[in-house]
Amino acid sequence: MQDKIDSPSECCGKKESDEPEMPALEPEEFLKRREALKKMAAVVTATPPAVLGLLYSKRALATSGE
Amino acid sequence: MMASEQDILAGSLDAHAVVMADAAHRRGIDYDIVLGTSWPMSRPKRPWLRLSVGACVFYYRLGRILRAGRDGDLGRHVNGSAATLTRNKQRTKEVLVRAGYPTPPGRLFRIDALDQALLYAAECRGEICVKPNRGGKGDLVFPMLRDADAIYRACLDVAEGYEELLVEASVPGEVWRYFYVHPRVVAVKHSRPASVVGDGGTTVLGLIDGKNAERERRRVIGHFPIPSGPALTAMLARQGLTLESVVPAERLVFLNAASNGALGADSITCVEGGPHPLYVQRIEAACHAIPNLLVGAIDTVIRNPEQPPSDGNFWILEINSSPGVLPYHFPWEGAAQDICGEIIALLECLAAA
Repeated sequence: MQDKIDSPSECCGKKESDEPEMPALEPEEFLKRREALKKMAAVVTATPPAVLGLLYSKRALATSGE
Repeated sequence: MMASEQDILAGSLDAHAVVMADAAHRRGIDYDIVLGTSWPMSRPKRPWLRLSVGACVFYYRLGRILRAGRDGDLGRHVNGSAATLTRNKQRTKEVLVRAGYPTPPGRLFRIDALDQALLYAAECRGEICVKPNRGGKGDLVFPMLRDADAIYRACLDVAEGYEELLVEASVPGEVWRYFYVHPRVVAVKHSRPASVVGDGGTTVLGLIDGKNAERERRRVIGHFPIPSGPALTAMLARQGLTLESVVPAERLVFLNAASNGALGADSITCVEGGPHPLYVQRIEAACHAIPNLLVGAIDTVIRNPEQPPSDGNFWILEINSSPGVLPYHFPWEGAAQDICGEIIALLECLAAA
């Protein structure tokens, strides 16, 4: 069952008729979004957190606590 | 006349605790107000409602119910290990999925792996929800994300405030909250995102002004004015509308993707005529699958509430171990539901055990 949670292919909204209207992504829209997100990910990988404007670097190194 | 310490404390009690105090009074339970600090102990002291139930003492504040510790001071959450579990949304989802209950597919990322979160989102084909793994009260929850810029901005916003973020499918349907007080669901409400209903002659902006005027007039606790801003504009755009659009009569127009009271949502309680009754059974069974869960609010999305639970028709979003009670006692629509009375009855059972 864990595979189901982790599988990107499962991460999809499918219905079009719910309120508020949520039209599914058209194939071209999905491809355009995918490429844009990949480019953004590459920028994040290459950019120090401080340059991104994030303050998370210290917290990210800390161990999460309950 | 100088005010007593109790008077001063009473004035600072949160609204949830005031309602709980009233329920205790109705059932003849002794209570008072004390200043206390829960974990982490570095927190400043706050007013807590102290309930003396038989030989047991409980504390209540902002939805949290604590048992008394050995020294009589604030102790563990009444849900014990379930409170720890449910603070972690991803772990809760994993437990639910293992037990056979549907949750939105998604994945957890530490914020120092933001690039991985974006790569994961890149492969998701539908609309996406980004939220903190340990957030509460709807803080920084971004459902219905559609374009890359919105997803990126949401990830950055969560990363600025939290250590972990969830990227998951934004599942379609209505948000229903089931309030569980062991061993059963005691109330159900629909959390309708900020919305207005068209009249065939008024612009969206005019309808919003009218709704906000009604908010001001009725002053229903826990219901706030509809906020303006980018979220409103985006929500209208996805429905092909602007603030200047005139909406046909009886058309429901949504004004925000999130269903939190602070964002203008309406709480609609449901004594009868809610989702198919089998959902209650399903939710109760899910709660029984969480060890030690005694009190909780189970947030679900139901695609077609009239249809019974089935794959693809409902998902459990999360479980809140310290849920607010005000929307049930003060709904925008529907009858008030005495959640606090149910909780007090549970505490009486625990004290008698």
